[in-house]
Amino acid sequence: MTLRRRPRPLDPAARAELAAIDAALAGRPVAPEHSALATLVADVRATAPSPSPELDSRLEAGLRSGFAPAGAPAPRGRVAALGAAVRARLGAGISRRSLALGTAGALASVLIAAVVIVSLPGSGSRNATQPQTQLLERAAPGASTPPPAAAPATVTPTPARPTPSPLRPLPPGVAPAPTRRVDRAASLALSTAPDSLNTVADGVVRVTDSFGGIVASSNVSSGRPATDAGPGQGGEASFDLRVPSDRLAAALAALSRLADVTARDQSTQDITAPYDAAASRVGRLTSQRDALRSRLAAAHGAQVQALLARLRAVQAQLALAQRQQRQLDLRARYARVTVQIAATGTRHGAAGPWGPGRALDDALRVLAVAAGVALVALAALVPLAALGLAGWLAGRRLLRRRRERALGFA
Amino acid sequence: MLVAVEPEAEPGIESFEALYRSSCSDLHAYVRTLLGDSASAEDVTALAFERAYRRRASFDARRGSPRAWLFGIARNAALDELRRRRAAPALAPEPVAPGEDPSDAAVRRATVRRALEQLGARDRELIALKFHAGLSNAELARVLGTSESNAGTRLHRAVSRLRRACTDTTEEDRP
Repeated sequence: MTLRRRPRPLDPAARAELAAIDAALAGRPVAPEHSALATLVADVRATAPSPSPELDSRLEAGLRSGFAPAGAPAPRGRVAALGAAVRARLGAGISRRSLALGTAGALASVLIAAVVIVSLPGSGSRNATQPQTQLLERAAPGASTPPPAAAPATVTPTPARPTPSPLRPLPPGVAPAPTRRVDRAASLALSTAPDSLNTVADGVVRVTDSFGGIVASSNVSSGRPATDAGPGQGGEASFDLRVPSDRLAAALAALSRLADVTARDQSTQDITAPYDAAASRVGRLTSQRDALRSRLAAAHGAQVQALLARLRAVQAQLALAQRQQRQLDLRARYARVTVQIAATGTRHGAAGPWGPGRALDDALRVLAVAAGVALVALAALVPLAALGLAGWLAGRRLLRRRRERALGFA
Repeated sequence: MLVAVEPEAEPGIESFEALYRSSCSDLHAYVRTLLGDSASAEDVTALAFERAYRRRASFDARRGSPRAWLFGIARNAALDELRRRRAAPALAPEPVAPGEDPSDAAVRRATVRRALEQLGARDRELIALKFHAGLSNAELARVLGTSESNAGTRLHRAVSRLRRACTDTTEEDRP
């Protein structure tokens, strides 16, 4: 370790002599005791070598030509030529270092801006994952349908609706079964974007409730969200609904407004005859039961057991007939509606022709990738730049020492 | 001739020309004194002006005057020349101009020249920077890369050695 010796302050006599030298150099009078020093100054200045006329003319020519060395080569390479052109255009006030710093600053600004834009809420990848998150949150309580074994790993089956309770009685205002009994069924296929799947599914339930119907079963599966790697895989939903028959047309119209209708089918089946047969059978079995009960009340001994056996058999047949009549009645009162919702693989707003919205998405994606590449490059370049800077500083120090050593040899 | 140059002025084209006009002779005298060789001194002087012109945009007025900046560039160029040669030839005695009056002044100047030849290169450089270039102690410190007080101390020692050398030379010349 080298300790640098602090220079001792000059004594007053030395300071006075230095001041006298400065005064003599400036042409000012000096004190009489420093007249010898003033003479020395004049003599040394008089010994100053003068430049030759050749040097004068050489320097004058250099000044006129901007000190361009004769036969100076043009800047090598496009980058050097571009740098020279920029410096020439901006004037001599810009140095190589300023140009490099400015370029690095601009690059860093673009990088930071890209990172900020990509990290803003509402940018591409977050939009794509939002629907799945919502569906997963909804699927948590009461999930009852197990995921299909053959489902792809990226698809998350989410039974969003609990299994419905048994059929409720007709709500007030619903008309009783008409004389002619008709079994109505309809199927509806809808198509929507993946991030609208949940909204459409909610709409199906809402429409069903508003028409006094019930959701017999439902299944909602989200798809793989769209990512930077490619478009997502569409989800799907299916509903088995019961809608009052007399309001079926209105309900179908309301359901059709929820999304794009890709298929619609309706069928009717007259079940008046089966119903009437079931009703007549119920009446006949009821009469038989009542008669058996009367005979049982008057029976004695072994007759009682035989009547009881027959009464049990008739009651079982009666219960079966009543259940059949009731099912036929419900089929006539409530129409079966099947709704299938298919989500396409594109993101919301990205469907349809390529436009400004998709262009913005693409631009953000390109910026994000570019920012990532720039960050990786920066991570590799920073240590190299630090090493280069250290080497440059060491080189300067070494050059300075060598120059001072050369002065010592002279 | 010492011409004051506005220290705040950034050496643009016009101010660089002014700097050149005011410093050319002094710069050459300094380099010539340091190198001791007329041909090399002229080459280094031209090289120093060429470098200064190319780097004029890098001049920072907060770090010193334009003269100090210019002499720093010339010093580096001269030291590089010394490095190439590894040894500087002895300072060539300035030929006495024909017709010069061999008066006391002429004798004194010859003595000073011989005394300068006997000085080391570091002292010679200090004398040239002070007496030929007319730099202030602050500018001297800027060129040498040291503090102002250190530059003053070194200058005073160099002047003292020069005076001693002049005295010794005068006594040697006495019969």
